Amino acid sequence: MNPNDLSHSFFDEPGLLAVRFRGHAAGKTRVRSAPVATTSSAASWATRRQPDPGGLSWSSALPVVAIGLVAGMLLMPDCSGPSRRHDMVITAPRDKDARGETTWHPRLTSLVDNLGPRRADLQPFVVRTLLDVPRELGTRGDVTGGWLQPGLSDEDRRMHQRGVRLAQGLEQAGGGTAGLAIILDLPGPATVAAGAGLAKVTDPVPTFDNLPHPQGVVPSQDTLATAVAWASTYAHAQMIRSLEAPPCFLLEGNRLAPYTNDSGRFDNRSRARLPSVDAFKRLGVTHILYVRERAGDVAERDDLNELFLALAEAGINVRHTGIDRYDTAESATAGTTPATTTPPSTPTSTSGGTTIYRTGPSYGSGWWWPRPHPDDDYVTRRRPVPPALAGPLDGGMSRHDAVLSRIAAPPPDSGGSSSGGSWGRSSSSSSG
Amino acid sequence: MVIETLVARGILDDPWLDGPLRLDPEPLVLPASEAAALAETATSVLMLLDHLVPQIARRPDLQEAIGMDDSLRAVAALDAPRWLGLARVDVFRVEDGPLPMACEVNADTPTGLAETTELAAVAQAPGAADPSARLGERWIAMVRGAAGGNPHPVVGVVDATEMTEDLGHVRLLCRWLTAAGCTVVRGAPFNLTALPGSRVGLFGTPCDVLVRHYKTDWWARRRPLWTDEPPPADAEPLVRELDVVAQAMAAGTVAVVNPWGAAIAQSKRTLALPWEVPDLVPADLRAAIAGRLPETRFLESVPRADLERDQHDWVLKSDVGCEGEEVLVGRDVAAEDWRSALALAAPGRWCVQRAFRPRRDARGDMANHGIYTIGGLPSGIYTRRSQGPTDFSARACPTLVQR
Repeated sequence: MNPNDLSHSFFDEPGLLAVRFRGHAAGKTRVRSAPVATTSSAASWATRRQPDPGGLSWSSALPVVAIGLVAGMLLMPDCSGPSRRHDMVITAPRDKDARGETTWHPRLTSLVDNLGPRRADLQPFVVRTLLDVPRELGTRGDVTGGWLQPGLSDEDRRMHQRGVRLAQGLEQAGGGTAGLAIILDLPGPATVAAGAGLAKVTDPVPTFDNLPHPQGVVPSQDTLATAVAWASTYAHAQMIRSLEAPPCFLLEGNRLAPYTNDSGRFDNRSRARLPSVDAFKRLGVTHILYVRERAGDVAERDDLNELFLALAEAGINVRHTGIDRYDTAESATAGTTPATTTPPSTPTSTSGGTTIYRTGPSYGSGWWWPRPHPDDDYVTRRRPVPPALAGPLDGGMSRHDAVLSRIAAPPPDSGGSSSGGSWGRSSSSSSG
Repeated sequence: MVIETLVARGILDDPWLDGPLRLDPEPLVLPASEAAALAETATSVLMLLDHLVPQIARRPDLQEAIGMDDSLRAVAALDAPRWLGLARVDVFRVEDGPLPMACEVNADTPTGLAETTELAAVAQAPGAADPSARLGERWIAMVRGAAGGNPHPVVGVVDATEMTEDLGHVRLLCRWLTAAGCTVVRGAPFNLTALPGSRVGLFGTPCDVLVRHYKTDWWARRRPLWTDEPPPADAEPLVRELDVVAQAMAAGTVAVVNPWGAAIAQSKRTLALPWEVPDLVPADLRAAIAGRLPETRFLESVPRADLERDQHDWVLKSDVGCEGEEVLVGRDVAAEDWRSALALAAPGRWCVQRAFRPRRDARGDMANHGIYTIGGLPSGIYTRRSQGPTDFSARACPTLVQR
C-alpha cells in the first residue's frame, strides 16, 4: 500500500467532491470516487462512502447547484446574536452614556478592552462572550445590530454610587487591600454600574457569559447596554488605577434565572466562570469580599457553593455582604446591629459618610468593614445542589404520542426532581 | 501575538483555561506519509463501524449488548442504519507498534472544529498546507445534501444553549452556514415545536435541516454510570421534542445531521464487538483494523482479578463518555481508585481497552490526532498535546501537512 494515498483526501478539489455529494442527494448509491489512488480497502471505502443525511424526502429533492460558498442574503442574524433584530428591547435606552457623552459608538467594538483589567495575570479570567457581541454584529455590517445603545437607569446610577462608596472604603483601608479580591454578583446592569464605581481602585474582570436573545431567559441585552453606558467611565478609570489594584470579578447575577423548558424562551443562562482555588492562590488572593444586592440575603449563588467551600478549606476567607450597606451615610448606619460573635473594632475613619471600621482581632488581618451587620458572620455551608437551577420539567410526558410511546414510561426510581435546560441531563461540560 | 490574532477573529474567545493557555500556537507539521497513515487508521475503524451499525440496528440483542436502553434504541431507530455524517476518530502514533492506533470515535456530536480550523488558519510553516482547510466546505456540502440539494436551506442549530463550553464550535457552524447563504436559527431541543405543514421549527421558523449538536444519549433516558451515583436530576427522555422531530422526518420535511443512528456507533462498547462477537466481522475487515484498534472487551468479559492484576495494561471506558470523561487509564490511576472503579462501574455500560504507549515528543507531550471525516472522507486534523490522558488540560495546536 502506498502510505501517501489518503493524505490527498484532505486536499482534493471541491468540484470533484461535489460530484460525490451530488450523487448522494440524487439518491444514487454509487458515485465516482475522488481522485485518489485507492490501494487499501479503507481508502477505497472512504472515497466512496457518502454521508448519511437524515430524513428529508428524496422525492422532493431539488436540483443540486455547484458546491461553493455562496454569499446569500442574510435573512436572519446568526447564532451569535438575536434572531430578529427588531425584537431586542433595552429597558432604559439612552442617547448618551453615563458621562453624558454621545461618542459611545466607537467604543462598541472595544468593550472588553475598556471594561477589562490592566493586570496581565487577570486577562485569562476575562469572559468575553457578551461584551464581544458588537464585534460579531459588526461582521454583519452594523455593530449595533440596529438595537444596541447605552442603557442607563436610575437604579444603575444608585448602584454606581454604592460602588464609589465601596471604593472609598478600600482607599481608606490602604494596604489592607493586599490579597483582596472582590466578586460583584448583582443583576448584570447593577454589577456593571457598581463595578464602574470601583474601577479606579480595583481591576475589573468581566465574566459575562452567553449571548443575548430577544426571547432570552437572562435579559443580558440590558447588561450589554449598561456596559456601553459605562464604558467610557471604565476607560478613564483604567488610565489612573494602579497595577497593584485588587481584582474585581464582575458576574451576571441573573445567570441562573428560572427556566422551565418553555419552548418560547431561549435558554441563555450560564454558570459562573471564576478562577479555581489554585488560580486564586496564584493571583495572590488571600481573602474575598463577595457582594450581593441586599444585606441579609447574601448567601452565594448555587453555582458558587462548591468553590467557596473549597476556598475556605484552602484558607482563603470569603466575606459576604450586601451592596446596599454602602449606601448613603444614613442607610449605612441605620438598622444595623453589632455582630454577635465578632464585635467590630473601633471606628477609625469616615469616608463619604460611611463609617469605616478597620480590622479587629476577630476579623483577621486585611479586613475592613462598614457598620457591623449580622451578614459579617455569614459562613458558607455545604448545601445540596438544587435539582433546579430552574423549575419543574415534564420531559414532554404530557404530550407524547405513539411515535415514541414505548419509551414514555419513566423507571419508578427516576426521582421526582428535575431541572430546566440541559444541566440536569449532561454528564460532561462538552459534547465531545 | 498568535493568541491575540485568534481572539480577534471572533470564533475562539476563550484561549485560556483557569489561567494557562489551552491553545498551543506551535504548529505540528506532519509528513504526508504520517497524515496518510493516521487517515488510514481512522477510516479503517469507521469502515468497521459501517459494517457493524446496520447489523446492530436490526438486532435488539446487540443493541442491549452495547449498552443501549429502550429509550436510546428508540432514538437511534429514528433513522438508523444511517449514522455517518461528521465524525472524528482519535488516533495516536505509538511506540509499541508500526501503525497509528485509534482509541475512540465520536460520530455523534464531535467538537473541536473551531480549534482545528482557527489555529490552522493562523499557523504558518514553509511547504506545509492546512489539511482542514476544506472542512467547512465539505460540511456545508453535506448539509445541502441533507436538504435534498436545496442550496439555501433554513437550518436549525440545536444545542445545549446554556452550556457555553462549546459556543466556539457552534459559532463556527453558524458562520459557515450564514456564509453559505443558509438561514440559521438556533435553539435547544426544548425550543423545537411542530409547525403547520408537518414541519418542525425553532421559535416559529420552520427548518429544512436540523444540525444536531446535542448528544443522542442526552435525548434518551439518563442513567447513572456508577452504581453509587444518584440518578440525574432530569432523567426522563425528551419525548415531546423527539416526537416533533420524528413527525417531521416521517413527513419528509426535515433532515437531521448528524443522524440519530450515530448513537450506535457512539457507544464505545460497539468497538468491542470484533472480540466479543467475532462472527460479525469478516476476515478482510479484521485485517483492516489489525494493529490499528486495540483489543476492546466488555468490562464483564474480563475477570476482575485479571484487570486488577494487569491494571497498567488496560483503559476503562464508559459507553457514552467523551473527551476523557469517564475514562480511566490504568497506569495513570492509583490501584485503590482502579479497584474502586471496577467495582462501582454500572453493569453493561463499560468496556476495557488494551493500553498502548503513545509516541512522545522532545517535550514529553503525546499528541492525540482527531481525524475528522465527512461521510468517511478524511477532511481535517485536530491535534491536542498533553502529558497524560486527553482531558481538559490538553492543549490544541495547529496541524499542518508537509506537501
